Amino acid sequence: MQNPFDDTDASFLVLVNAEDQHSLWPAFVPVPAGWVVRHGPAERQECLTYIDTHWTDMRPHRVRQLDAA
Amino acid sequence: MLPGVVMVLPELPLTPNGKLDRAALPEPEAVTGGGRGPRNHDETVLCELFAKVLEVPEVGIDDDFFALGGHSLLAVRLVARIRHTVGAEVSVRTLFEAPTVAGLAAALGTGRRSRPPLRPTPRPARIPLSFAQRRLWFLNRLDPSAALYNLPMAVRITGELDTEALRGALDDVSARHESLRTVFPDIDGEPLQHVLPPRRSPRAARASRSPPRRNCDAPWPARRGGASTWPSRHPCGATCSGWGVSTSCCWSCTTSPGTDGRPPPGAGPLHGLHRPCARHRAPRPRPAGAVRGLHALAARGPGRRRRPRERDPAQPGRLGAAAVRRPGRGAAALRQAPSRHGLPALREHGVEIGADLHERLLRLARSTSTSLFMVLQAGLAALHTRLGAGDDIVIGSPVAGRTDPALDDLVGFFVNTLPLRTDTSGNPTFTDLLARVRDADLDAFDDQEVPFEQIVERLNPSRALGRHPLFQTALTLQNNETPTMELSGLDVRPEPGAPALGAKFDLSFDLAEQAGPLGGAAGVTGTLEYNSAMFDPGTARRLVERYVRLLDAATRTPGARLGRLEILSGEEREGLLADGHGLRRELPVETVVELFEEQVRRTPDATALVCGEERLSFAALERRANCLARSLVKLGNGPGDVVAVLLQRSVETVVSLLGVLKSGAAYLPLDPDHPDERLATMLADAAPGLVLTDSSLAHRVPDAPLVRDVDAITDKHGDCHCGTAGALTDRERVRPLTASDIVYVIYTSGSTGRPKGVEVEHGSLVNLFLSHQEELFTPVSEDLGRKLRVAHTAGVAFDASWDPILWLVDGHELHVVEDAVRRDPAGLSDYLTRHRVDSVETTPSYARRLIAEGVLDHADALSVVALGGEAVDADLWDDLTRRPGVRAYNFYGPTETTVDAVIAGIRGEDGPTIGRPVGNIRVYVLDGGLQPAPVGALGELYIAGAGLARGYRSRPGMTGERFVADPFAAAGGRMYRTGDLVRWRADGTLEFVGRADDQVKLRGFRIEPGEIRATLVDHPGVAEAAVLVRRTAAGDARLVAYPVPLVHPGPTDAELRRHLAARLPEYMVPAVFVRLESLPLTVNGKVDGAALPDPAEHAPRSPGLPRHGARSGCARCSLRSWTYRGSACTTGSSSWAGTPCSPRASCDGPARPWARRSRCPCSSRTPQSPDSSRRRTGRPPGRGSGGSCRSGPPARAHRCSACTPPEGSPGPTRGWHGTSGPSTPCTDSRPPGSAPATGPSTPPTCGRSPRTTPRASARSSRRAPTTCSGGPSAATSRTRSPGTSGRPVTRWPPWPCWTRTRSASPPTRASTTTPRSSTRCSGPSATARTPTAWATPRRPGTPSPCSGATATPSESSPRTRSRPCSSASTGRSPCCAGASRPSSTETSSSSPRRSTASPESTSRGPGAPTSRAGSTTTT
Repeated sequence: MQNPFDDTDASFLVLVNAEDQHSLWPAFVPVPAGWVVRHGPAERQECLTYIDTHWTDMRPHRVRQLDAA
Repeated sequence: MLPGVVMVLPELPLTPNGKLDRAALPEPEAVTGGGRGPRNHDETVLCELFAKVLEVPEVGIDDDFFALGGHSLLAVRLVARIRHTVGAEVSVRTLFEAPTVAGLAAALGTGRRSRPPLRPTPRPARIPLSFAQRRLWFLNRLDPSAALYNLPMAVRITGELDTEALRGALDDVSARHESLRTVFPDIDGEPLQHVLPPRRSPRAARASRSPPRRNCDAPWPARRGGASTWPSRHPCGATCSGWGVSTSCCWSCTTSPGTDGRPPPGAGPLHGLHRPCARHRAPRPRPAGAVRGLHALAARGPGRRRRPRERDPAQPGRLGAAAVRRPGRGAAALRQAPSRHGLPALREHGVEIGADLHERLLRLARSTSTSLFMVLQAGLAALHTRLGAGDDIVIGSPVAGRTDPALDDLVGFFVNTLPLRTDTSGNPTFTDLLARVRDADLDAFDDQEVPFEQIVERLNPSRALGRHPLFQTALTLQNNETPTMELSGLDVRPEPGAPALGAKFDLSFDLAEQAGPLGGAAGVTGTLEYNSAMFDPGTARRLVERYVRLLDAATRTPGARLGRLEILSGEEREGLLADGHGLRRELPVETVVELFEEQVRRTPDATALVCGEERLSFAALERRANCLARSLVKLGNGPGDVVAVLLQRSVETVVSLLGVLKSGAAYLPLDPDHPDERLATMLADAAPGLVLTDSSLAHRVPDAPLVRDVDAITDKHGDCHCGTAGALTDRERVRPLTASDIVYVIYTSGSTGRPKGVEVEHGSLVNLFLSHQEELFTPVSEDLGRKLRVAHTAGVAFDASWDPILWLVDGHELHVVEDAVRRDPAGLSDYLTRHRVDSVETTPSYARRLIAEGVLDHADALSVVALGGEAVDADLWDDLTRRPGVRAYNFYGPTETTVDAVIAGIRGEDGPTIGRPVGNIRVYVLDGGLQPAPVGALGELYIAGAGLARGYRSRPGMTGERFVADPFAAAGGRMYRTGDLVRWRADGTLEFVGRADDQVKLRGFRIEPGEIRATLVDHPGVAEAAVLVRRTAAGDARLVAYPVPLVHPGPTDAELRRHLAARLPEYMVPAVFVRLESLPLTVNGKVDGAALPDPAEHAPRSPGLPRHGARSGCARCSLRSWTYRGSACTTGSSSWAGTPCSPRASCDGPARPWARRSRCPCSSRTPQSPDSSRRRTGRPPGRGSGGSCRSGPPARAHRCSACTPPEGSPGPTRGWHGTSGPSTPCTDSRPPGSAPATGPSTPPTCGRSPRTTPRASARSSRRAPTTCSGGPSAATSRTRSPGTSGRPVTRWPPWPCWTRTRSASPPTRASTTTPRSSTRCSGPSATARTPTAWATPRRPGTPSPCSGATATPSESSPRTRSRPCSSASTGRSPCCAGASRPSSTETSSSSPRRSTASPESTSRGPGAPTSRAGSTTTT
């Protein structure tokens, strides 16, 4: 069974939630509640590269606030 | 988009609402002949053939064959008639592509070459069987009692039946058709056809008038077995049962090698005969000729030559049924019940497709230029994929095989089986899937005459009794005419309910199109026959429901991708999501620190921690942890920071852990057993603010920015004033500690070659604690009426080590078991018994060994056994279920979901299961479209909820790829995709099935072969490599590496091992290296794991007597001898090649023709077993003795495979025979660096004599541990000994490495002293040491190799005395001395190496120039 996240030929999105957490997401599946499309549809590797370059602070938003306080 | 049919109506019918009344629209009639007429001879003939086959009056040259009702079976018939009449070879594909007469005539072209028509030929003396007949003959021989292929038929005859006339008619049919009286005796095991002379049925048949019955069921069982005993009986029989004056039930049972059950089209055998018979006129027998036998000859003889595949073996892509390259997964993957042996029983479930859906199916077929069968097949394949059967689905479909009109009027068995392969990969749309199905099916139809047996032979799938070799699901669409029987003056109706006599396939969909009054679609009905040994009735019912639901969805939205087609009802879907939700529970506290401190307040004086002779109360533990925490805070660590801890197992391990947590920083455990390079990688990746270690290990982290000796900053002696200062508060911390802060970072194997750090938050751990407390700690504790003693046996670098810590947090007594003890089943068992430990958590493999040591066999035995890290097998499960005093649990959980996400109480559940989610955890079993997989269907496990880790440290891409959006949660939740394949069981628990990716679990260790592969390829001599886990004959899993050297022969095994051992933990170093010229690739260009040679198959073996001695000389099997391993059915031996000796044995008997297969993968030499070598040389084969293959890399592979540990034995790289002396099979695999320990002058490291046989050794003492130097890791560790005195000190591998043997060599200190007597230091203590380990006399002051104290810790521990700058000497802990975070210069000036450089440092007093000196002197 091919996992939809591992299909290198498929089209993907990059989703982001309120905690600024990023998620790869197969384009053929509806976007879940609480997430917005930040990038794509694009190739898988491009999406991963996007995440790598744009999700530079991996702390959830709530933790960033704690650290900033 | 052009309509297929145009009908002119006077007006459109309207509903009362004025809308178009679709139901009232007339069904289109087949309007034919309206177009252009034929223009030439070919077209004229084709028009006639079209009309004849389609049974329509006339056909124009532009009429579409399929629009006129043609389908694939009619297409096959048309092609046959074209061949016969026109003499041209047309493929079914051509007809699909040019379905009109005009198009087809153009396609005929000038190529009139066609196969010769079948004609009678002289009959040979012995008539051989056709392939199909042979197949059934074999099946009959396999199980003569089975009647799978008998063809029962029952008809109800109403009217005055003249039974005498009927009998005469039947006899006449039998006389005309030889195949109805052909039997299949065999001579010398070779079957042949023997035609019995026509007979007159005994009159007894007429007299069998039984009392009226309600139906015809009763007579069947009595006939089931008998009818199929072919060699002796007339294969065809009939009986009449009277129901009354005017009703009879006539039934017949025909064995299928004689017939395929299909009366010839349009001319049933009885049809033409009954009338004369009814008039009591003797029928005129006609000789049937030799055609039937001829067909068999044609199929086996000359006919083979004309088949494209046979003619051109260079066409690898098309063998008969369209490139079936390997057995399909099909129904096997859908099975619900454990398969049972014996004849599979048959059950049926009705299939009903309504007229509306039928119409849509037809419309979809038309719009995609496919047939209804293809749409149904695509739907079935899609269903298989959705239910977890993979994306390479093979569905079998019988074809009539009557491809020559000469066969039309013959009774006979011409059926062939087409394996139709459907590629559902890539989640295509249903329309795309239909195109694939069409393409593959047309290829298959073109090659439909290639006997199925040839395909099977060519593909050589592994065969098993009762399993179809290529597919387990069959689909038949009966859209041909229904066979009818006409008897003049009588009303004859087929009687339903005549049961088929056994399940031929696991699932068999037998469907038929129903036509409405006007010929329109009136539904598709039929049955699903299923193997009741594999499916229960409920599953079969749900399967049918899902099939229809999927077809419905596909016809409504053919553009939707397979993964999104709905197969669940709303209710099912809700139920599945509800089952996956663990108990919802509020979290009253934020951090584990609070929980522990509460516990300290409750039971300050209870024993919290035991390690060796050291015991700490909760209060003492709290005091020391607080002291450490304050030190860490003062060094600048707090929430958001990471503190690494590198310590041998000791009290300090737990003190450090708690201290780090209290400071607010995250705990990063480092395992001293890991190679320096890996430690460095982890440190570089995690970038901890501080590394806590001790003097014996500080040299292991030379590049770490800041290293502190834990002893120097812990209040080890309780004299620090901060001991009275109480627990740290948030005011003391850098900032308040919350549930969202990281509690620990644990590194796991990473497929890209770099381990990845999982960051787990406090809230997740609190959640796990509360779940365990409620479901485990409290119930067990209440049962026993006291707190428990809990063993901590897991390596600290694994997240499973948190379970025992949580017991501690709950107030139980934690025993940190030292390395040497925990790795020795006997030692650990002894420890558990002596200390009356109540609870232990370990892997199933190790648990088996502990149980074998009798750990559960006494009155004070364990109360709790928790298993984790690998799947629990049924035997262990049952064993634990049977032990009344033991509560056993199966814990499942990836590190990414905080230790345990799903747990099962072993006693409460039926068979191995991983159980149900823990509190506040949600689990989903999702398929390839991220839809919930139904109960029983394979899916991938996703975990969401409170246990979810934050992600992988500094790996955004990898985190975003694995921790993904949760489609079932509101508000932006995430879920972790585990990569584990599971299925829901009907009882609401989860069954673990395997991995979706390469990741493996070996002895509980999580391993990404990709990481090993990447490291292997880093070696300059290796071009590429593959690594996978294989099982040995004994069933043990081990890592096998397949390096492809840049230049042959390339680096030696020893070099590769050394390379890997320096970078990877010991458990990740492969046991066997098999060099390859190149890696075998799949058509997709990926490494073809299935094609990699299995070293187990090449392993040397004893050429002793085969277990099946009587068969070993079977000339027919072409095998000189069979070993006890493997199955003949996987080795290329044809099943019927083995028939004469015993087909059953050949298929289910464990046999392997080793003589055929036992060659080295890249050498022509035949390896010899070590046993044989030993016999010849009188000593074990090893270096110099030649071993198996005397040269070349494969030789090593052979040797090493011989060194495979038996079940339950230690590490994969160790020789279980423990022969590590100068001449052992293992010596080659030892790195040269370890030469001093293994040289000829060195006594054997293992405590066993090389000549001791394993059996003999097993009988001997099990106490003496060995260093098992046969493996590379132990050897390598000697070169990296923490001791710096030059004395080789064995570094103990992180998992049991003890052979249960005692040296048979002359008594040594090791064998004369019982290590058990050393209760204080159960590490590799003096008494437990083997001669090599003590080759160098121990000097006074040498640090003990034991990590723990060897005597009273405060007085005689070498470590204590050797502290170059211990806080003991200053009498104060630096934490109360206001130690500030040292500058980097202080760091660089620290010299941990020097501090441990010599035992003489013991004598140093305060102020020695070490890192600790730095912190001390600031006081």
